[in-house]
Amino acid sequence: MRVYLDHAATTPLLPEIVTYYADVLSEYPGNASSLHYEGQHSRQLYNWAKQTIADCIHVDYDEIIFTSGGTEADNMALFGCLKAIKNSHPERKKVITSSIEHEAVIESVKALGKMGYEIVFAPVSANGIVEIDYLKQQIDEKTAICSIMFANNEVGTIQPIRQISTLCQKAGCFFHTDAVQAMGKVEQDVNELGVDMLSASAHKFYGPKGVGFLYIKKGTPLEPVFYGGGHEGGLRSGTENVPGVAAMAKALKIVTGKIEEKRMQYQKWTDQILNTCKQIQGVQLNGDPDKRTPGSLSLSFSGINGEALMGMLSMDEIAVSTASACRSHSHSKGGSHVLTAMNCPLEFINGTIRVVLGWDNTDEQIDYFCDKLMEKVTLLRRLSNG
Amino acid sequence: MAVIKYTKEVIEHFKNPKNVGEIENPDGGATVGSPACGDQVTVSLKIKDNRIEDIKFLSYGCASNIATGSIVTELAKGKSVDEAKKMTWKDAVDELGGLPPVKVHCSVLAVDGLKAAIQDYEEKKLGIKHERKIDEQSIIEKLKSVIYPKTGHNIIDEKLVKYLKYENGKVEIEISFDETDVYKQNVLEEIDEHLHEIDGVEEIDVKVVEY
Repeated sequence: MRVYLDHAATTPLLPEIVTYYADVLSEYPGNASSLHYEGQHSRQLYNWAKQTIADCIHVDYDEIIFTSGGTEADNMALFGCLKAIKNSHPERKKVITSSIEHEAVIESVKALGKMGYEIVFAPVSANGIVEIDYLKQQIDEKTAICSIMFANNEVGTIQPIRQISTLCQKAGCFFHTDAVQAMGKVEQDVNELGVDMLSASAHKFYGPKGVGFLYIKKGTPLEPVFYGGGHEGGLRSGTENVPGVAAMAKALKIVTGKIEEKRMQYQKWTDQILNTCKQIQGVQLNGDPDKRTPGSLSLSFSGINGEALMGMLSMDEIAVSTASACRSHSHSKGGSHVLTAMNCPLEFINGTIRVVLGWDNTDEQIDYFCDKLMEKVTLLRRLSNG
Repeated sequence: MAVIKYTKEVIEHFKNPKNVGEIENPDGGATVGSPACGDQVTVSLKIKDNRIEDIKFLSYGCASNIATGSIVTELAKGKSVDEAKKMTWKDAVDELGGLPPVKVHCSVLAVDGLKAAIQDYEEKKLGIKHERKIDEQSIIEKLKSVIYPKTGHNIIDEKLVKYLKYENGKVEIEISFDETDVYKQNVLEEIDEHLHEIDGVEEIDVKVVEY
Protein backbone atom coordinates (compact mmCIF):
# COMPACT_ATOMS: atom_id res chain seq x y z
CA MET A 1 0.00 0.00 0.00
CA ARG A 2 1.49 3.35 -1.04
CA VAL A 3 0.60 6.17 1.33
CA TYR A 4 1.11 9.65 -0.09
CA LEU A 5 1.37 12.32 2.61
CA ASP A 6 3.11 15.10 0.71
CA HIS A 7 0.16 17.09 -0.65
CA ALA A 8 1.88 20.44 -0.08
CA ALA A 9 4.48 19.44 -2.70
CA THR A 10 1.81 18.44 -5.18
CA THR A 11 -1.54 16.69 -5.31
CA PRO A 12 -2.54 13.85 -7.62
CA LEU A 13 -5.23 14.67 -10.19
CA LEU A 14 -8.70 13.71 -8.99
CA PRO A 15 -9.85 10.65 -10.95
CA GLU A 16 -12.69 12.61 -12.57
CA ILE A 17 -10.19 15.32 -13.58
CA VAL A 18 -7.97 12.73 -15.28
CA THR A 19 -10.92 11.71 -17.48
CA TYR A 20 -12.05 15.26 -18.09
CA TYR A 21 -8.54 16.54 -18.89
CA ALA A 22 -8.03 13.72 -21.41
CA ASP A 23 -11.42 14.40 -23.01
CA VAL A 24 -10.63 18.10 -23.43
CA LEU A 25 -7.21 17.27 -24.87
CA SER A 26 -8.83 15.26 -27.64
CA GLU A 27 -12.04 17.22 -28.15
CA TYR A 28 -10.69 20.79 -28.13
CA PRO A 29 -7.74 20.89 -30.55
CA GLY A 30 -8.35 24.47 -31.67
CA ASN A 31 -6.34 27.55 -30.82
CA ALA A 32 -8.62 29.69 -28.65
CA SER A 33 -7.50 32.78 -30.58
CA SER A 34 -8.60 31.40 -33.98
CA LEU A 35 -11.85 32.59 -35.50
CA HIS A 36 -13.00 29.32 -37.09
CA TYR A 37 -15.18 26.70 -35.43
CA GLU A 38 -12.30 24.82 -33.74
CA GLY A 39 -10.95 28.06 -32.36
CA GLN A 40 -14.26 29.36 -31.06
CA HIS A 41 -15.12 25.97 -29.58
CA SER A 42 -11.90 26.19 -27.52
CA ARG A 43 -12.54 29.86 -26.73
CA GLN A 44 -15.91 29.00 -25.21
CA LEU A 45 -14.39 26.46 -22.86
CA TYR A 46 -11.57 28.88 -22.01
CA ASN A 47 -14.06 31.57 -21.08
CA TRP A 48 -16.08 29.10 -19.03
CA ALA A 49 -12.90 28.15 -17.13
CA LYS A 50 -12.14 31.78 -16.35
CA GLN A 51 -15.70 32.50 -15.19
CA THR A 52 -15.73 29.35 -13.02
CA ILE A 53 -12.50 30.31 -11.29
CA ALA A 54 -13.68 33.89 -10.79
CA ASP A 55 -16.90 32.55 -9.20
CA CYS A 56 -15.00 30.16 -6.90
CA ILE A 57 -12.99 33.00 -5.38
CA HIS A 58 -15.74 35.67 -5.61
CA VAL A 59 -14.13 38.04 -8.12
CA ASP A 60 -14.93 39.20 -11.65
CA TYR A 61 -14.15 37.41 -14.89
CA ASP A 62 -11.67 39.98 -16.16
CA GLU A 63 -9.70 39.97 -12.93
CA ILE A 64 -8.16 36.56 -13.70
CA ILE A 65 -5.02 36.03 -15.81
CA PHE A 66 -4.00 32.46 -16.56
CA THR A 67 -0.33 31.57 -16.08
CA SER A 68 1.92 28.52 -16.15
CA GLY A 69 1.70 28.18 -12.37
CA GLY A 70 2.40 29.84 -9.05
CA THR A 71 5.96 30.88 -9.79
CA GLU A 72 4.97 32.74 -12.93
CA ALA A 73 2.02 34.38 -11.16
CA ASP A 74 4.31 35.60 -8.36
CA ASN A 75 6.88 36.95 -10.82
CA MET A 76 4.18 38.61 -12.89
CA ALA A 77 2.66 40.31 -9.85
CA LEU A 78 5.94 41.67 -8.52
CA PHE A 79 7.83 42.59 -11.68
CA GLY A 80 4.73 43.51 -13.69
CA CYS A 81 3.27 45.86 -11.12
CA LEU A 82 6.60 47.53 -10.29
CA LYS A 83 7.29 48.09 -13.97
CA ALA A 84 3.86 49.70 -14.34
CA ILE A 85 4.29 52.20 -11.49
CA LYS A 86 7.96 52.97 -12.03
CA ASN A 87 7.30 56.24 -13.82
CA SER A 88 4.08 57.28 -12.11
CA HIS A 89 5.41 56.69 -8.58
CA PRO A 90 9.20 57.10 -8.66
CA GLU A 91 9.24 57.73 -4.89
CA ARG A 92 7.91 54.25 -4.12
CA LYS A 93 11.05 52.11 -4.10
CA LYS A 94 10.43 49.78 -1.18
CA VAL A 95 9.37 46.13 -1.53
CA ILE A 96 8.28 44.34 1.64
CA THR A 97 7.88 40.60 2.09
CA SER A 98 8.25 38.06 4.89
CA SER A 99 11.18 35.82 5.80
CA ILE A 100 9.09 32.65 5.28
CA GLU A 101 7.91 33.12 1.70
CA HIS A 102 8.22 30.51 -1.01
CA GLU A 103 11.39 30.81 -3.12
CA ALA A 104 9.30 32.16 -6.03
CA VAL A 105 8.77 35.34 -4.00
CA ILE A 106 12.04 35.40 -2.02
CA GLU A 107 14.22 35.07 -5.11
CA SER A 108 12.11 37.59 -7.06
CA VAL A 109 12.45 40.10 -4.24
CA LYS A 110 16.22 39.51 -4.04
CA ALA A 111 16.42 40.17 -7.78
CA LEU A 112 14.49 43.42 -7.25
CA GLY A 113 17.06 44.32 -4.61
CA LYS A 114 19.80 43.97 -7.20
CA MET A 115 17.79 46.22 -9.51
CA GLY A 116 17.92 48.99 -6.90
CA TYR A 117 14.75 48.53 -4.87
CA GLU A 118 14.96 48.72 -1.10
CA ILE A 119 13.93 45.26 0.09
CA VAL A 120 12.60 44.32 3.52
CA PHE A 121 12.11 40.82 4.91
CA ALA A 122 9.68 41.01 7.81
CA PRO A 123 10.38 38.66 10.74
CA VAL A 124 7.87 36.11 12.02
CA SER A 125 6.91 34.96 15.52
CA ALA A 126 7.91 31.57 16.90
CA ASN A 127 4.51 30.38 15.61
CA GLY A 128 5.39 31.38 12.08
CA ILE A 129 3.03 34.37 11.87
CA VAL A 130 4.43 37.55 10.36
CA GLU A 131 5.04 40.32 12.93
CA ILE A 132 2.22 42.73 12.25
CA ASP A 133 3.78 45.51 14.36
CA TYR A 134 6.89 45.35 12.25
CA LEU A 135 4.79 45.63 9.09
CA LYS A 136 2.96 48.62 10.58
CA GLN A 137 6.30 50.43 10.90
CA GLN A 138 7.55 49.40 7.47
CA ILE A 139 4.53 49.86 5.22
CA ASP A 140 4.63 53.56 4.36
CA GLU A 141 4.33 56.10 1.57
CA LYS A 142 7.67 54.91 0.11
CA THR A 143 6.42 51.33 -0.23
CA ALA A 144 5.58 50.10 -3.72
CA ILE A 145 4.48 46.52 -3.03
CA CYS A 146 4.02 44.28 -0.05
CA SER A 147 3.89 40.53 -0.72
CA ILE A 148 2.92 38.19 2.12
CA MET A 149 1.90 34.58 1.57
CA PHE A 150 -1.60 33.44 2.51
CA ALA A 151 -0.45 30.15 4.04
CA ASN A 152 3.05 28.82 4.51
CA ASN A 153 4.18 25.76 2.54
CA GLU A 154 6.28 24.18 5.29
CA VAL A 155 4.35 24.73 8.49
CA GLY A 156 0.92 25.66 7.12
CA THR A 157 0.42 28.83 9.17
CA ILE A 158 -2.21 31.24 7.86
CA GLN A 159 -1.15 34.89 7.81
CA PRO A 160 -3.33 37.86 8.86
CA ILE A 161 -4.05 38.88 5.26
CA ARG A 162 -7.08 41.07 6.02
CA GLN A 163 -5.08 43.12 8.54
CA ILE A 164 -2.15 43.53 6.16
CA SER A 165 -4.36 44.60 3.28
CA THR A 166 -5.80 47.36 5.49
CA LEU A 167 -2.26 48.59 6.25
CA CYS A 168 -1.42 48.62 2.55
CA GLN A 169 -4.60 50.46 1.61
CA LYS A 170 -3.83 53.16 4.18
CA ALA A 171 -0.30 53.58 2.85
CA GLY A 172 -1.46 53.50 -0.76
CA CYS A 173 0.79 50.61 -1.76
CA PHE A 174 -0.11 47.41 -3.59
CA PHE A 175 -0.59 44.12 -1.81
CA HIS A 176 0.11 40.72 -3.32
CA THR A 177 -0.44 37.37 -1.64
CA ASP A 178 0.87 33.99 -2.73
CA ALA A 179 -2.15 31.80 -1.99
CA VAL A 180 -0.75 28.67 -3.63
CA GLN A 181 -0.96 26.62 -0.41
CA ALA A 182 -4.35 27.95 0.68
CA MET A 183 -6.39 27.62 -2.52
CA GLY A 184 -8.83 24.75 -2.18
CA LYS A 185 -8.11 24.31 1.53
CA VAL A 186 -9.43 27.57 2.93
CA GLU A 187 -12.54 29.45 1.75
CA GLN A 188 -11.41 32.27 -0.56
CA ASP A 189 -13.52 35.41 -0.64
CA VAL A 190 -10.84 37.37 -2.44
CA ASN A 191 -12.93 40.47 -2.98
CA GLU A 192 -13.56 40.70 0.75
CA LEU A 193 -9.86 40.10 1.56
CA GLY A 194 -8.87 43.42 0.06
CA VAL A 195 -5.76 42.17 -1.75
CA ASP A 196 -4.69 43.64 -5.09
CA MET A 197 -3.10 40.48 -6.45
CA LEU A 198 -3.23 36.80 -5.56
CA SER A 199 -1.38 33.79 -7.02
CA ALA A 200 -2.56 30.19 -7.25
CA SER A 201 -1.40 26.96 -8.85
CA ALA A 202 -3.64 24.13 -10.10
CA HIS A 203 -1.45 21.19 -9.08
CA LYS A 204 -1.85 22.09 -5.41
CA PHE A 205 -5.61 21.57 -5.63
CA TYR A 206 -5.82 18.33 -7.63
CA GLY A 207 -5.56 20.00 -11.03
CA PRO A 208 -2.80 19.58 -13.62
CA LYS A 209 0.79 20.77 -13.34
CA GLY A 210 1.93 23.67 -15.48
CA VAL A 211 -1.10 25.89 -15.02
CA GLY A 212 -2.13 28.52 -12.48
CA PHE A 213 -3.57 31.99 -12.29
CA LEU A 214 -3.06 35.48 -11.01
CA TYR A 215 -6.00 37.46 -9.67
CA ILE A 216 -5.49 41.13 -10.31
CA LYS A 217 -7.99 43.59 -8.89
CA LYS A 218 -9.55 45.95 -11.43
CA GLY A 219 -7.51 49.13 -11.68
CA THR A 220 -4.25 47.64 -10.44
CA PRO A 221 -1.48 48.72 -12.81
CA LEU A 222 0.33 45.85 -14.51
CA GLU A 223 2.80 45.65 -17.38
CA PRO A 224 3.43 42.35 -19.13
CA VAL A 225 6.48 40.26 -18.28
CA PHE A 226 6.15 38.21 -21.51
CA TYR A 227 5.67 39.91 -24.86
CA GLY A 228 4.14 38.34 -27.94
CA GLY A 229 0.75 37.79 -29.51
CA GLY A 230 -1.18 39.86 -27.00
CA HIS A 231 -3.10 37.08 -25.29
CA GLU A 232 -4.86 37.72 -21.95
CA GLY A 233 -5.45 41.33 -22.82
CA GLY A 234 -1.81 41.78 -23.73
CA LEU A 235 -0.73 40.95 -20.20
CA ARG A 236 0.38 37.39 -20.78
CA SER A 237 1.22 36.41 -24.33
CA GLY A 238 1.38 32.76 -25.28
CA THR A 239 -1.18 30.40 -26.82
CA GLU A 240 -3.98 29.63 -24.37
CA ASN A 241 -3.61 26.33 -22.51
CA VAL A 242 -7.23 25.29 -22.97
CA PRO A 243 -7.09 21.76 -21.49
CA GLY A 244 -4.98 23.00 -18.57
CA VAL A 245 -7.25 25.85 -17.55
CA ALA A 246 -10.43 23.81 -18.06
CA ALA A 247 -9.11 21.01 -15.83
CA MET A 248 -7.95 23.58 -13.29
CA ALA A 249 -11.37 25.23 -13.19
CA LYS A 250 -13.17 21.92 -12.84
CA ALA A 251 -10.83 20.86 -10.03
CA LEU A 252 -11.21 24.15 -8.15
CA LYS A 253 -14.98 23.94 -8.41
CA ILE A 254 -15.04 20.41 -6.97
CA VAL A 255 -12.51 21.17 -4.24
CA THR A 256 -14.13 24.45 -3.20
CA GLY A 257 -17.44 22.66 -2.65
CA LYS A 258 -15.88 20.26 -0.15
CA ILE A 259 -13.68 22.49 1.98
CA GLU A 260 -15.73 22.02 5.15
CA GLU A 261 -16.15 18.27 4.75
CA LYS A 262 -12.40 17.83 4.24
CA ARG A 263 -11.56 20.10 7.13
CA MET A 264 -13.46 17.82 9.50
CA GLN A 265 -11.94 14.68 8.06
CA TYR A 266 -8.39 16.11 8.28
CA GLN A 267 -9.03 17.28 11.83
CA LYS A 268 -9.79 13.71 12.87
CA TRP A 269 -6.64 12.41 11.19
CA THR A 270 -4.32 15.13 12.46
CA ASP A 271 -5.66 14.52 16.00
CA GLN A 272 -4.83 10.86 15.57
CA ILE A 273 -1.31 11.64 14.33
CA LEU A 274 -0.71 14.15 17.13
CA ASN A 275 -1.89 11.57 19.68
CA THR A 276 0.63 9.13 18.29
CA CYS A 277 3.28 11.84 18.64
CA LYS A 278 2.30 12.31 22.28
CA GLN A 279 2.99 8.64 22.88
CA ILE A 280 6.28 8.86 21.00
CA GLN A 281 7.33 11.88 23.16
CA GLY A 282 9.94 14.48 22.33
CA VAL A 283 7.91 15.75 19.34
CA GLN A 284 7.22 19.38 18.59
CA LEU A 285 4.46 20.63 16.31
CA ASN A 286 5.83 23.63 14.41
CA GLY A 287 3.67 26.62 13.56
CA ASP A 288 0.51 27.98 15.06
CA PRO A 289 -1.69 25.22 16.54
CA ASP A 290 -4.91 26.87 15.29
CA LYS A 291 -4.17 29.26 12.44
CA ARG A 292 -3.09 26.64 9.93
CA THR A 293 -4.30 25.01 6.72
CA PRO A 294 -6.27 21.83 7.47
CA GLY A 295 -4.22 18.64 7.27
CA SER A 296 -0.74 20.22 7.41
CA LEU A 297 1.70 19.11 10.08
CA SER A 298 5.35 20.03 10.50
CA LEU A 299 6.75 17.71 13.17
CA SER A 300 10.19 17.87 14.80
CA PHE A 301 11.50 14.79 16.60
CA SER A 302 14.28 15.07 19.15
CA GLY A 303 17.32 12.84 18.73
CA ILE A 304 16.79 11.85 15.11
CA ASN A 305 17.51 13.17 11.66
CA GLY A 306 14.47 13.99 9.51
CA GLU A 307 16.08 12.73 6.34
CA ALA A 308 16.72 9.35 7.95
CA LEU A 309 13.10 9.20 9.13
CA MET A 310 11.86 10.13 5.67
CA GLY A 311 14.09 7.42 4.19
CA MET A 312 12.84 4.78 6.64
CA LEU A 313 9.20 5.65 5.94
CA SER A 314 9.87 5.69 2.21
CA MET A 315 11.08 2.09 2.36
CA ASP A 316 7.72 1.19 3.86
CA GLU A 317 5.88 2.93 1.02
CA ILE A 318 5.07 6.15 2.88
CA ALA A 319 5.87 9.49 1.20
CA VAL A 320 6.57 12.46 3.48
CA SER A 321 9.11 15.23 2.99
CA THR A 322 11.74 16.86 5.16
CA ALA A 323 11.18 20.51 4.30
CA SER A 324 9.51 21.77 1.15
CA ALA A 325 10.17 19.77 -1.98
CA CYS A 326 12.16 22.56 -3.63
CA ARG A 327 14.64 22.58 -0.76
CA SER A 328 15.33 18.86 -1.03
CA HIS A 329 17.33 19.56 -4.19
CA SER A 330 20.01 21.57 -2.48
CA HIS A 331 22.25 20.31 0.23
CA SER A 332 22.27 22.95 2.90
CA LYS A 333 23.20 22.40 6.47
CA GLY A 334 21.27 25.45 7.51
CA GLY A 335 18.10 23.62 6.61
CA SER A 336 14.68 25.18 6.29
CA HIS A 337 14.65 28.98 6.05
CA VAL A 338 11.10 28.92 7.44
CA LEU A 339 11.97 27.05 10.65
CA THR A 340 15.14 29.14 10.97
CA ALA A 341 13.07 32.34 10.78
CA MET A 342 10.81 30.89 13.49
CA ASN A 343 13.87 30.49 15.74
CA CYS A 344 13.51 26.73 15.84
CA PRO A 345 16.75 25.22 17.25
CA LEU A 346 18.95 23.57 14.59
CA GLU A 347 18.71 20.18 16.27
CA PHE A 348 14.94 20.31 15.87
CA ILE A 349 15.14 21.61 12.32
CA ASN A 350 17.29 18.64 11.36
CA GLY A 351 14.74 16.30 12.93
CA THR A 352 11.75 17.63 11.02
CA ILE A 353 9.32 15.98 8.64
CA ARG A 354 6.33 17.52 6.91
CA VAL A 355 3.11 15.53 6.71
CA VAL A 356 0.32 16.95 4.54
CA LEU A 357 -2.94 15.05 4.13
CA GLY A 358 -5.07 14.95 1.00
CA TRP A 359 -8.21 13.68 -0.67
CA ASP A 360 -6.75 10.30 -1.59
CA ASN A 361 -5.93 9.32 2.03
CA THR A 362 -8.04 6.77 3.94
CA ASP A 363 -8.54 5.77 7.59
CA GLU A 364 -6.54 2.63 6.92
CA GLN A 365 -3.62 4.63 5.54
CA ILE A 366 -3.49 6.95 8.55
CA ASP A 367 -3.55 3.95 10.93
CA TYR A 368 -0.66 2.44 8.98
CA PHE A 369 1.29 5.71 9.01
CA CYS A 370 0.86 6.12 12.78
CA ASP A 371 2.11 2.57 13.42
CA LYS A 372 5.11 3.05 11.15
CA LEU A 373 5.93 6.47 12.55
CA MET A 374 6.12 5.07 16.07
CA GLU A 375 8.20 2.10 14.91
CA LYS A 376 10.71 4.14 12.87
CA VAL A 377 11.21 6.92 15.42
CA THR A 378 11.87 4.32 18.12
CA LEU A 379 14.34 2.54 15.85
CA LEU A 380 16.21 5.71 14.90
CA ARG A 381 16.37 6.88 18.50
CA ARG A 382 17.89 3.56 19.47
CA LEU A 383 20.45 4.16 16.73
CA SER A 384 21.39 7.55 18.11
CA ASN A 385 21.20 6.84 21.84
CA GLY A 386 21.96 3.14 22.11
CA MET B 1 15.27 9.34 -0.83
CA ALA B 2 13.25 10.39 -3.79
CA VAL B 3 15.90 12.75 -5.04
CA ILE B 4 19.05 11.00 -3.86
CA LYS B 5 19.84 7.68 -5.50
CA TYR B 6 21.41 5.11 -3.21
CA THR B 7 22.95 1.73 -4.08
CA LYS B 8 21.50 -1.57 -2.86
CA GLU B 9 24.34 -1.83 -0.36
CA VAL B 10 23.64 1.57 1.16
CA ILE B 11 19.94 0.79 1.52
CA GLU B 12 20.71 -2.59 3.10
CA HIS B 13 23.10 -1.05 5.66
CA PHE B 14 20.59 1.72 6.35
CA LYS B 15 17.73 -0.74 6.88
CA ASN B 16 19.73 -3.19 8.94
CA PRO B 17 22.77 -1.41 10.31
CA LYS B 18 25.46 -3.60 11.88
CA ASN B 19 27.31 -2.92 15.14
CA VAL B 20 24.83 -0.45 16.57
CA GLY B 21 25.31 0.54 20.21
CA GLU B 22 27.92 1.50 22.71
CA ILE B 23 30.55 -0.79 24.25
CA GLU B 24 30.67 -0.78 28.04
CA ASN B 25 34.08 0.15 29.41
CA PRO B 26 35.56 0.69 25.96
CA ASP B 27 39.29 0.82 25.35
CA GLY B 28 38.77 3.85 23.15
CA GLY B 29 35.91 6.02 22.04
CA ALA B 30 35.07 9.30 20.34
CA THR B 31 32.20 11.42 19.08
CA VAL B 32 32.60 13.49 15.94
CA GLY B 33 30.24 15.96 14.26
CA SER B 34 27.32 17.53 16.05
CA PRO B 35 23.53 17.19 16.02
CA ALA B 36 23.26 20.86 15.08
CA CYS B 37 24.99 20.03 11.81
CA GLY B 38 22.67 17.11 11.27
CA ASP B 39 25.48 14.57 11.45
CA GLN B 40 27.02 12.92 14.47
CA VAL B 41 28.78 9.60 14.93
CA THR B 42 29.98 8.01 18.18
CA VAL B 43 32.44 5.09 17.92
CA SER B 44 33.56 2.82 20.77
CA LEU B 45 36.25 0.12 20.61
CA LYS B 46 37.39 -3.00 22.39
CA ILE B 47 41.04 -3.82 21.58
CA LYS B 48 42.72 -7.14 22.30
CA ASP B 49 46.30 -8.04 21.29
CA ASN B 50 46.44 -4.90 19.20
CA ARG B 51 43.40 -5.95 17.20
CA ILE B 52 39.92 -4.46 17.10
CA GLU B 53 37.98 -7.18 18.84
CA ASP B 54 34.71 -5.31 18.93
CA ILE B 55 33.45 -2.00 17.62
CA LYS B 56 30.09 -0.27 17.89
CA PHE B 57 28.64 2.99 16.69
CA LEU B 58 25.73 5.34 17.31
CA SER B 59 24.50 7.69 14.63
CA TYR B 60 22.47 10.82 14.70
CA GLY B 61 22.29 11.44 11.02
CA CYS B 62 20.78 10.79 7.65
CA ALA B 63 20.50 7.50 5.79
CA SER B 64 24.06 7.56 4.45
CA ASN B 65 25.41 8.58 7.85
CA ILE B 66 23.88 5.41 9.29
CA ALA B 67 25.01 3.25 6.35
CA THR B 68 28.60 4.51 6.48
CA GLY B 69 28.74 3.98 10.25
CA SER B 70 27.65 0.42 9.67
CA ILE B 71 30.11 -0.31 6.86
CA VAL B 72 33.12 1.36 8.52
CA THR B 73 32.62 -0.63 11.72
CA GLU B 74 32.18 -3.82 9.67
CA LEU B 75 35.41 -3.14 7.80
CA ALA B 76 37.36 -2.25 10.94
CA LYS B 77 36.28 -5.24 13.01
CA GLY B 78 39.10 -7.78 13.31
CA LYS B 79 41.69 -5.48 11.76
CA SER B 80 44.90 -4.64 13.59
CA VAL B 81 45.07 -1.13 14.96
CA ASP B 82 47.67 -0.20 12.35
CA GLU B 83 45.53 -1.56 9.51
CA ALA B 84 42.49 0.30 10.78
CA LYS B 85 44.44 3.54 10.98
CA LYS B 86 45.17 3.24 7.27
CA MET B 87 41.50 2.98 6.31
CA THR B 88 40.17 5.84 4.23
CA TRP B 89 36.70 7.06 3.42
CA LYS B 90 37.22 5.77 -0.12
CA ASP B 91 37.35 2.22 1.26
CA ALA B 92 33.94 2.77 2.83
CA VAL B 93 32.46 4.34 -0.30
CA ASP B 94 33.79 1.52 -2.51
CA GLU B 95 32.39 -1.12 -0.20
CA LEU B 96 28.98 0.56 -0.43
CA GLY B 97 29.16 0.57 -4.23
CA GLY B 98 29.42 4.37 -4.27
CA LEU B 99 27.69 7.29 -2.57
CA PRO B 100 26.05 10.31 -4.18
CA PRO B 101 28.55 13.23 -4.21
CA VAL B 102 26.47 15.27 -1.74
CA LYS B 103 26.72 12.39 0.74
CA VAL B 104 30.43 11.59 0.54
CA HIS B 105 31.07 13.76 3.60
CA CYS B 106 29.16 11.16 5.67
CA SER B 107 31.82 8.54 4.94
CA VAL B 108 34.51 11.04 5.93
CA LEU B 109 32.76 11.56 9.25
CA ALA B 110 32.49 7.83 9.96
CA VAL B 111 36.18 7.21 9.22
CA ASP B 112 37.11 10.28 11.27
CA GLY B 113 35.11 8.76 14.14
CA LEU B 114 37.03 5.49 13.87
CA LYS B 115 40.40 7.27 13.81
CA ALA B 116 39.51 9.51 16.73
CA ALA B 117 38.47 6.45 18.75
CA ILE B 118 41.78 4.75 17.96
CA GLN B 119 43.66 7.90 18.93
CA ASP B 120 41.73 7.95 22.21
CA TYR B 121 42.79 4.33 22.81
CA GLU B 122 46.42 5.05 22.09
CA GLU B 123 46.48 8.06 24.37
CA LYS B 124 44.60 6.52 27.28
CA LYS B 125 45.77 2.91 27.20
CA LEU B 126 49.18 3.15 25.62
CA GLY B 127 50.16 6.60 26.80
CA ILE B 128 51.14 7.65 23.28
CA LYS B 129 51.14 11.39 23.02
CA HIS B 130 50.02 12.51 19.61
CA GLU B 131 52.24 15.25 18.45
CA ARG B 132 50.09 18.22 17.52
CA LYS B 133 52.35 20.26 15.37
CA ILE B 134 50.32 22.68 13.31
CA ASP B 135 51.73 23.87 10.03
CA GLU B 136 50.39 24.59 6.58
CA GLN B 137 50.87 20.97 5.55
CA SER B 138 48.81 19.62 8.46
CA ILE B 139 46.08 22.13 7.71
CA ILE B 140 45.99 21.02 4.09
CA GLU B 141 45.66 17.43 5.30
CA LYS B 142 42.73 18.48 7.46
CA LEU B 143 41.09 20.33 4.59
CA LYS B 144 41.20 17.13 2.56
CA SER B 145 38.30 16.05 4.80
CA VAL B 146 36.14 18.84 3.41
CA ILE B 147 34.19 17.47 0.48
CA TYR B 148 32.84 19.61 -2.34
CA PRO B 149 29.28 18.24 -2.56
CA LYS B 150 28.93 18.91 -6.27
CA THR B 151 31.66 16.44 -7.24
CA GLY B 152 32.29 14.34 -4.14
CA HIS B 153 36.01 15.23 -4.18
CA ASN B 154 37.79 17.16 -1.47
CA ILE B 155 38.37 20.88 -1.82
CA ILE B 156 42.16 20.52 -2.03
CA ASP B 157 42.03 18.09 -4.97
CA GLU B 158 39.35 20.28 -6.54
CA LYS B 159 41.89 23.14 -6.34
CA LEU B 160 39.33 25.44 -4.78
CA VAL B 161 41.80 26.63 -2.14
CA LYS B 162 43.94 29.33 -3.76
CA TYR B 163 45.92 30.59 -0.78
CA LEU B 164 46.71 29.31 2.68
CA LYS B 165 48.78 30.73 5.48
CA TYR B 166 49.21 29.71 9.12
CA GLU B 167 50.80 31.91 11.75
CA ASN B 168 50.41 32.13 15.54
CA GLY B 169 47.12 30.30 15.77
CA LYS B 170 45.59 32.11 12.82
CA VAL B 171 44.63 30.40 9.55
CA GLU B 172 44.10 32.50 6.46
CA ILE B 173 42.47 30.89 3.45
CA GLU B 174 41.34 32.11 0.07
CA ILE B 175 38.86 29.91 -1.72
CA SER B 176 37.22 30.42 -5.10
CA PHE B 177 33.60 29.84 -6.03
CA ASP B 178 31.32 30.90 -8.83
CA GLU B 179 28.95 33.58 -7.65
CA THR B 180 25.98 31.26 -8.10
CA ASP B 181 27.50 28.16 -6.46
CA VAL B 182 24.77 26.67 -4.24
CA TYR B 183 27.32 24.72 -2.19
CA LYS B 184 29.38 27.73 -1.16
CA GLN B 185 27.82 28.22 2.26
CA ASN B 186 27.96 24.53 2.98
CA VAL B 187 31.69 24.29 2.18
CA LEU B 188 32.49 27.39 4.25
CA GLU B 189 30.70 25.88 7.26
CA GLU B 190 32.57 22.61 6.81
CA ILE B 191 35.94 24.39 6.65
CA ASP B 192 35.15 26.23 9.85
CA GLU B 193 34.04 23.07 11.59
CA HIS B 194 37.10 21.04 10.59
CA LEU B 195 39.67 23.69 11.39
CA HIS B 196 38.14 24.35 14.79
CA GLU B 197 38.79 20.69 15.59
CA ILE B 198 42.54 21.39 15.49
CA ASP B 199 43.83 22.28 18.95
CA GLY B 200 45.77 25.50 18.75
CA VAL B 201 43.83 27.06 15.86
CA GLU B 202 42.28 30.16 17.34
CA GLU B 203 41.33 32.29 14.42
CA ILE B 204 40.06 31.36 10.98
CA ASP B 205 39.82 33.88 8.20
CA VAL B 206 38.26 32.55 5.00
CA LYS B 207 37.97 34.86 2.02
CA VAL B 208 35.87 33.98 -1.00
CA VAL B 209 37.53 35.13 -4.17
CA GLU B 210 36.61 34.81 -7.82
CA TYR B 211 39.15 33.60 -10.31
